[in-house]
Amino acid sequence: MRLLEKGDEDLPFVCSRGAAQVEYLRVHAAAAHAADMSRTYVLLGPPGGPELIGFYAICMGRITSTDLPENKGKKLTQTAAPAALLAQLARDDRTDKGLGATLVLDALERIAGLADQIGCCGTFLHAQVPRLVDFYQDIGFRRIGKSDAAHPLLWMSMKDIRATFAQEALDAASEDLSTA
Amino acid sequence: MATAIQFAYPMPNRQLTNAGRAGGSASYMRLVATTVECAPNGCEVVLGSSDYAEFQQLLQEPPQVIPGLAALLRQRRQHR
Repeated sequence: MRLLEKGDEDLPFVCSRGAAQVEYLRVHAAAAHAADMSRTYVLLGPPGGPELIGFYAICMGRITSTDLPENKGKKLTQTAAPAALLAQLARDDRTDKGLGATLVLDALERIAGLADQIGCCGTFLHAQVPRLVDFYQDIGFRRIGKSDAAHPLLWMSMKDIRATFAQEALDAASEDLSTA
Repeated sequence: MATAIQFAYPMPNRQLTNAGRAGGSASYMRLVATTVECAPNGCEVVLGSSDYAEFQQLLQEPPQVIPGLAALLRQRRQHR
């Protein structure tokens, strides 16, 4: 996985159910990168298959509310939460379905690293199609609100991401000890 | 209260073209062109007060291991 480089936008990439994501890659990713609006990371495949097999884009965003009553707003710990936005994510149709989860995992690790250096309460995304809500919820994103919004807001808290990575580090160390 | 997703930079390409016809500045148009397409729904989410309270509740819960994410990490470790 590496940052988008010049010419990546022209590599063959097939994503029949992600026309908007393909357009982002082809038309907007390089410009957004140059303007420091987002960072796009690409995953290259092994020789013999498609060269570019997946990508995602992340940027900072925030979650807030504009209609908090004054007294209620004071009771809340904050009235706006800075968070990382998983803005785009797509895999090539010719690759394994599990690649989507691999891309999400890489994004979460990257965001968790950044959160040690900049305020970031968690990460969020807008599921563009209903089947993706299940995909992200299976990973652990939580849907915010009960509405039937066209693009539901899905959220994962940084403290939970850190707790999970910490647990994994412990498990990996324990495994290493048991096999040593 | 229903969730309201605010489009932080809601100008689609069609309107961008119209802005160009109306004589919009090139630098402004470049800004909009790059900003709009970073994320289809914009980078800011504005919630209704009850949804925001629910969101704040999530932030205040004690840290917990996320089962799905933990399973992904375990799976990756076992395949290495």
